[in-house]
Amino acid sequence: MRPLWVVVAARGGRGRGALVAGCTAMVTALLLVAASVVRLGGARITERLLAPIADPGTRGGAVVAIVLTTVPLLLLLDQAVRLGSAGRHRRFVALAVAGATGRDLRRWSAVEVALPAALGALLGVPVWLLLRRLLGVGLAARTGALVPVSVGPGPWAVAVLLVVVGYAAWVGRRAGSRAAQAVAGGRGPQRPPRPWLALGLLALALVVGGGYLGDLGGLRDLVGPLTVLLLALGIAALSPWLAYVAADRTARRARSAAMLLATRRLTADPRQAARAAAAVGAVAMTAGVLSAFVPQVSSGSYEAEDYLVPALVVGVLALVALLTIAGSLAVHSTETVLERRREMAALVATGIPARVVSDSQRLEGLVATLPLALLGVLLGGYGYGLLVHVGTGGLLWVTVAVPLTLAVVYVAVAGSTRLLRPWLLEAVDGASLRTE
Amino acid sequence: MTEQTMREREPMLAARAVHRSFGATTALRGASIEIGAGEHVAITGPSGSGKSTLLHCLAGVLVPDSGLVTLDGRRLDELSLDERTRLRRVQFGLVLQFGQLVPDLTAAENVALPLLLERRGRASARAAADQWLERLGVGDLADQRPTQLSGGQQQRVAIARALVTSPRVVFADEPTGALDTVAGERALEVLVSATRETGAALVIVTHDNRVAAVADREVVLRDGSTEPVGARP
Repeated sequence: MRPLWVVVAARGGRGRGALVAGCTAMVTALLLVAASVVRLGGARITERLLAPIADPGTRGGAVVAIVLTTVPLLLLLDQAVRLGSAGRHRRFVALAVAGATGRDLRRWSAVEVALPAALGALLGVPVWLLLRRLLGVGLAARTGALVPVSVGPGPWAVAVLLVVVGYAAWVGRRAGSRAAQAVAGGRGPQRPPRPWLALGLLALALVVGGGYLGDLGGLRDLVGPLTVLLLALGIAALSPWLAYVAADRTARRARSAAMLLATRRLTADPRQAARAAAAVGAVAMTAGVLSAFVPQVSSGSYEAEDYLVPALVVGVLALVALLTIAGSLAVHSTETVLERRREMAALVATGIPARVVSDSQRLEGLVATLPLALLGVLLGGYGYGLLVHVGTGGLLWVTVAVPLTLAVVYVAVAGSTRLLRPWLLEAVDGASLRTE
Repeated sequence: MTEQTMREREPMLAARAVHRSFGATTALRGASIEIGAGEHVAITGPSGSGKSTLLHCLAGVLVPDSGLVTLDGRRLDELSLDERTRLRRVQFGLVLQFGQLVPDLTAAENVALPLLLERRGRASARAAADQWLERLGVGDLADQRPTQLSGGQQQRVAIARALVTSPRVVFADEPTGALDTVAGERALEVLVSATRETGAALVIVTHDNRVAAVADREVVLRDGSTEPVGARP
């Protein structure tokens, strides 16, 4: 007979396992890239790298940027772990009835996620090697490599793999903790989120960023990346509060059933949706910075190509990140509906069109992301523009970037919701009401 | 016989020789039932006999594999999905055993939801919801969420939602099944008196004889087929 933890871990579901493995593979590959850039140290570089990586002054910023690209994937991992939570709840109830303790449930839940994550982390190594080939060797002769190839695989790579698997196991354990709580009688009503930590981080970012204008000597190179990191974290930390406030205000004026459903769902549990949407602010901030930065380097006395190619790469990465976030939101929203399958099927049975439930998912995603995107693009664009004095022309581009960024966020969220509609329609079918 | 007399004799809602399966499981094997305007009918039978499936077919939630369901002589399966959805919203009301209220909405918002879809203004929908909640004795709970209400209170809110559009037929699937005896009796009393008051027909699925006793007529379902018991004395 197989050990119980093997049986339980195998019940996680293939789709969930595949998504967890896919996320961890990409995160591992990106972190290996970041670690290899770190390992370049202050040494003289023999290979031809892109300017921001080759220049020791901007290398720290490049590492921060690469690490930030893993955030949307980690948020997607967070949502992937939620997949199938209704079935897991039933399974955990049965296991609890059979004598499993909360500790057992948490442990099994961690293993359930750690196993596909370990497989994903191992797959991350060939992905990293592929990135070295495509963005390292492939680009070196033309624009300069984006991924260093002079730093070979070593024991440090194992440490990266262990960190990724450890994080995934922690996410799994946390999900198990929630499920165990639900089995034990459910959570009480949640307190609305507070903005203080986020505002503290943003204030700190302003203080650190303000230092850029002063004389900091050798620390000057650290100020930029640190400010960006603090801003990104601050905006991400602000997302639950912003989502809650936006949803609460909208709910009070909601005139349509779809908007009422969306905003009330968000008000009741803003943290889950906000966690999925958290990185939107950082992506929008990137878009804002790029909108001021690109016209600046194009018209200035810079070696434009050295900066435009990395800017293009960052732009593409931001777009990929946005699509990943949209995917996370869609997964979150559909999982929420699946968790409430019966209530939603009952709603449709009473004459609420399934289209309204689907629209409510789209609106929930938009209410969670658009205010965050607006804040990010304004902070990034005007903040950067004013800091480096891009002039009226540069700020004009930022003004153009604001509606453009919001439109891209809208399309990404609406598109991903649309893609998941068939699952939703199946969930709200009248057959879901059967009790016999 | 005049045309008017014929129309009077035509049942408002009818199911004829309805078959419905779920995968390999056959729930209904030629079930038939007729419901007149304002009539209260109980569908009874042992567990697994297809009572809920028949109710869902009558309410247009499920489409039969074969057989007919008609409202005023019009076949429900010939309606488009949107038409059937609107029919359920406006002409029918539905009360289930449990898990039917949206947990994130307040009691008043749950009740007002169908009206918002009928393009009633927010204030007007809220006023109608408040009025029904008041009539059913839960007016003071209008701003509470379902999780803050007892089972009996939730059922009253569900009844208010079913009645808020002034439906012609209210379908109730084991409406007292998840309640204790006292709460169940109160919910049933509210359901019956409210439908009598509005003149709506009531189709109630139950395996409880005490619940069935409040109906004008009882139809017994066994292995997916109906066995009419007839009118009560």
